[in-house]
Order: sequence, then C-alpha cells, then structure tokens
Amino acid sequence: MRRVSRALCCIAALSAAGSWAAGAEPDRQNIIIDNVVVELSATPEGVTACVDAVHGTKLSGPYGVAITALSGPDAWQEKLPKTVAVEEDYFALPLRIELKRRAGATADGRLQFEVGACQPEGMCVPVELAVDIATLAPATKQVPCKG
Amino acid sequence: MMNRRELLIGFGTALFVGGTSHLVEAAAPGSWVLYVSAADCRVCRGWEVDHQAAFVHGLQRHGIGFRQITVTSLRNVRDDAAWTADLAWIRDTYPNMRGTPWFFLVSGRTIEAAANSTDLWRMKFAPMAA
Repeated sequence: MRRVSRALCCIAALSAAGSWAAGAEPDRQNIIIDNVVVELSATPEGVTACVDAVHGTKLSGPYGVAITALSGPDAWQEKLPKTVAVEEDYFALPLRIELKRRAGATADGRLQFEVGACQPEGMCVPVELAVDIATLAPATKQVPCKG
Repeated sequence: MMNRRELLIGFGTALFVGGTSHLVEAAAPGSWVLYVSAADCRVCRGWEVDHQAAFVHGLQRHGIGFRQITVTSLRNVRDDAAWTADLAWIRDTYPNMRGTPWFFLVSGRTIEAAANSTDLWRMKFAPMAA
C-alpha cells in the first residue's frame, strides 16, 4: 500500500465544523465528524494530521483523502488541493499525513480534509473536516499517531 | 408467562412486521426499485456481490422492476450526468441526499419507500423479494 505520509507537505491547524474534542495539549487538537477523527499537531516544519475513524467506520481507499488549503495555498511545499488514494478498499488507520511549509512562509490559514467514510450500518458518505491552524501552538518534536 | 422484555420484543416485532408488510403490499406489480451506487463506494460493491442478483431475481418473481444508476463518486451522488431525465425527479425529492447506497421503491410518480444504507435495505426492501 502506498504510504500517504510522505506524499504531502504543508501547514496545520484547527477550527471546527462539527463536534470538537480539543486536546489538553496546546500543540494538538482533534476534530470528530461522522466518526472520522483528525488530530492535528504543529511541527517545526508545518503540521502533522493523524486521520482515524471510530465506532467501526472505515475510510474508502479509492475515494481517498482530499486536502485543500481553504486559504493561503502558496504557503505549503506541495501544491494543494491534493488527493491521496489507495487501491485497497479501505485505508489502514491511523493515517499519518505531514504537511510542510515553504521556507519563510507563515501558514495560518484553514485546511480541509475530505474523506469517504463508510459507516458500519452500510453506507458511505463524504465527510469534510476543516481546521484553522492558526490556533495551534508550535511543537518541538514529532508526534506519533495513536494507533 | 411472558416478562416485560419479551412483551416489548413481541410488540416491536409486530410493529416491524406490520410496517414491512405495508411495504411489501406497496411493492405491487408495476412498481420498481431504483438502486443508486457510486464507483468508489465499497459498501455498494459488497452489496452487489452478496445480494444484488438474488434480490433482483426475487423482485422479478413478484413483477417488480429494478433499475440502477452509478455515479462517478459518492462525493456527488446528485451528479446530473448519472441521473437521466426520467429519474431526476426522484433525486429532486431528496434535496439532502448524501453518500451511497440509496434504494427507492417507486410506483408511478410516487416514492413508496427509501433506504440509504444496506441495513435499512435489509429491513425495508429485502422482504419485497422474499
């Protein structure tokens, strides 16, 4: 399976278009919508997103993860929007995505993650999670995704 | 003597059977089922492999038709390209339609039943083909 982690670069952040579960640590924040969880962490180079699902929900591999910079797309090393997909039916979770800033750029806009969430009751729905990275405090070290 | 839990289960079952039998009656000959899937919907692929052939065969035995449309992506189930003019009114009846799969029981210009998951299909539509 192709690893999504290395494929991307860019920023980070948080906001919320759904239920929030703000982490206790200022450099990490969670957003949960329709059983899809995105945990964002600030890194010295940008941000790390850990994409996961709960309650038996799976993320469609062919649908992929679409990452869009809702503002300031030029601040990121990789061209956004970008979709990363895999041939397998579902992503292996958690999925780690690293986004790195361009040198000298300040990334304080909003990022949107879109996935195809397949719920255990037998339906797949598109889920969008938007985050405002300006509220993330910078972290000093890499944060692992919780499996 | 039945306890309260057994009574509740029996009551629920009676309601379910009553509701289902109403749908089975609604699925009169001449009516048809529309199935909406998406190319990137793995749940849909699973249903198609495991259930579609038997379901369609069962519907045919009861004189009920079956139609299917497949949108490019569950990202846009309302995609105009997939909904032909004679089916668009069904989509337009559900402005909040999101994701896939969807099942509709159609009689004339009336939608008798709708389901947007395989669980709901099992409850509401599978009995029509039994």
